[in-house]
Amino acid sequence: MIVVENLYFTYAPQGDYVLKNINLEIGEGELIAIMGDNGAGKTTLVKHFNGLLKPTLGRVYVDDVDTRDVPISELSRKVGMIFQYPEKMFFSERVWDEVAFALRNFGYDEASINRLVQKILNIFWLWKYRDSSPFILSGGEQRRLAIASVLVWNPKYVVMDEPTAGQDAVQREILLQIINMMVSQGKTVILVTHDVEFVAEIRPRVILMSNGEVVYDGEATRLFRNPGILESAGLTQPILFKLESRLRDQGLIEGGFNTIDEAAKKIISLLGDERL
Amino acid sequence: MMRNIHELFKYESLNTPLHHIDPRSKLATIFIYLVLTIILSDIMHLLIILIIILSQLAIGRALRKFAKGLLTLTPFLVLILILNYLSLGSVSASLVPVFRFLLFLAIMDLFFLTTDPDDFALTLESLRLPLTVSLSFSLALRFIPTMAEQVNEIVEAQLSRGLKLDQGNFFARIRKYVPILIPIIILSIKRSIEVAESLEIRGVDPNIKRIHYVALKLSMRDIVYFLVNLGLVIVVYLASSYISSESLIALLHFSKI
Repeated sequence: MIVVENLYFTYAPQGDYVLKNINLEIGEGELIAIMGDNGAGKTTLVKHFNGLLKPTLGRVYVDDVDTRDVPISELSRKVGMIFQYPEKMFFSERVWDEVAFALRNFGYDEASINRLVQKILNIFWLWKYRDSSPFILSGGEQRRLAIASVLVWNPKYVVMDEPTAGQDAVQREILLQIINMMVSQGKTVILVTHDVEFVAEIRPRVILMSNGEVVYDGEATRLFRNPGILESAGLTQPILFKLESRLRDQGLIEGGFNTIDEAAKKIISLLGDERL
Repeated sequence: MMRNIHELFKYESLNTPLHHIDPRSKLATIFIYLVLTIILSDIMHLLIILIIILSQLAIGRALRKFAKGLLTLTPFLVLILILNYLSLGSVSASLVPVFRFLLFLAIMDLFFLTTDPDDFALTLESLRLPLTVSLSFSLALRFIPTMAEQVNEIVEAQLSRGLKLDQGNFFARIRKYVPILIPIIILSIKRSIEVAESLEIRGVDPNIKRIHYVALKLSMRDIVYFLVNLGLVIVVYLASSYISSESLIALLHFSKI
């Protein structure tokens, strides 16, 4: 469990707080989206989870360990962090070495490294590229490689910063599969994003941030039916929910729909009614 | 450690006399100080120049920034000291290159911390340097903070992959910078191509004569600033052949007896 207690954070000693009085509990196996517009403090918050940043005031505990007491390298074994545009960090000549880098840092023996790298490259459809340069891969493959090079050490918590940034529709679909896979493995997955459409597809618990504060913490569906809070945090409703509120405003539907399929059925039945 | 290096040359717009001096006058001034630093090799003389530069940095309210930058570079200063000691075998002789390095930094800071990057670009152009040279120079300066941000990002990403920068012996530590340096080099090359393209689509053409919206004007104050510094440099240079740290030590010995 990750517990955040009265967290305040400032980059400069006398500067303004970029995180203000954050209190959170993130349980095991949860799927969470931390949302908010640019500068809301999302990335700053998640950097506290693996100790890259230490609280100015308050505490952050990862499995009851105070993040101030342990080095980043130790926390990172539990909390895997996948940064925005993670392919920027590639430096190896071979895909294999890129994935093995972290395992070597964490002191795995060669036999385990071979086994783990082979396994993860196969899962991520990258085995055939094992001896190629990471830089010849396509954008989507590079993103997958970057994710694989973190998941390879099997961290219990996985933080993904803006995973959908710069990814096309097919890659988003693959990303969804990867996230589902992680959740089914019992991992805690924390997504940092302002991509409402992506969040609407996975419906996680949403922690909404604005100006360094948590303004909403709860179900995604309930949040998306509340355009007021969304707009105050610089976000807009996903298309599905916009459609829903338009139809509801016209008195055409009651309640709402949860999936595109449900929406399609409702609309078809509405059309059917008119034809009668 | 690498995170604050860019602070060394980051300009801050302040209202001090030094900020208002014409950049050309400042450039000429730091040039003569740099020459003096290279000519002189006695610690005492270098110390005197340092005091002059530091007092000017104080006037430009840039002393704190200089000190901060210096702190991040302390490992390099120690490295210079050790390497020189290994080859020269004397502490006092190996202190000279350390002091020179320190002075170079201070002198560069005197210019860059008090000169608007835009004015710097104008200065280079007023020196009749080709646009390709002056533009690349001022762009390089402009991109230092951007690059520092990128370094920070990459360091954080690699730390999150278990990289331990502060472990192992000297050579092991240097090798640990490979996962940071390679991405930075690659990103810099990519960005330079992007910048070049964006300059081209905005009509930058080195073969066309440019005119400027803001023109630099040399005032009496700028000339006086340079002449005062020139005077100081000449005095230090002339005095250096009469007084050295050795003669001072000898004098101290003499007075003890």
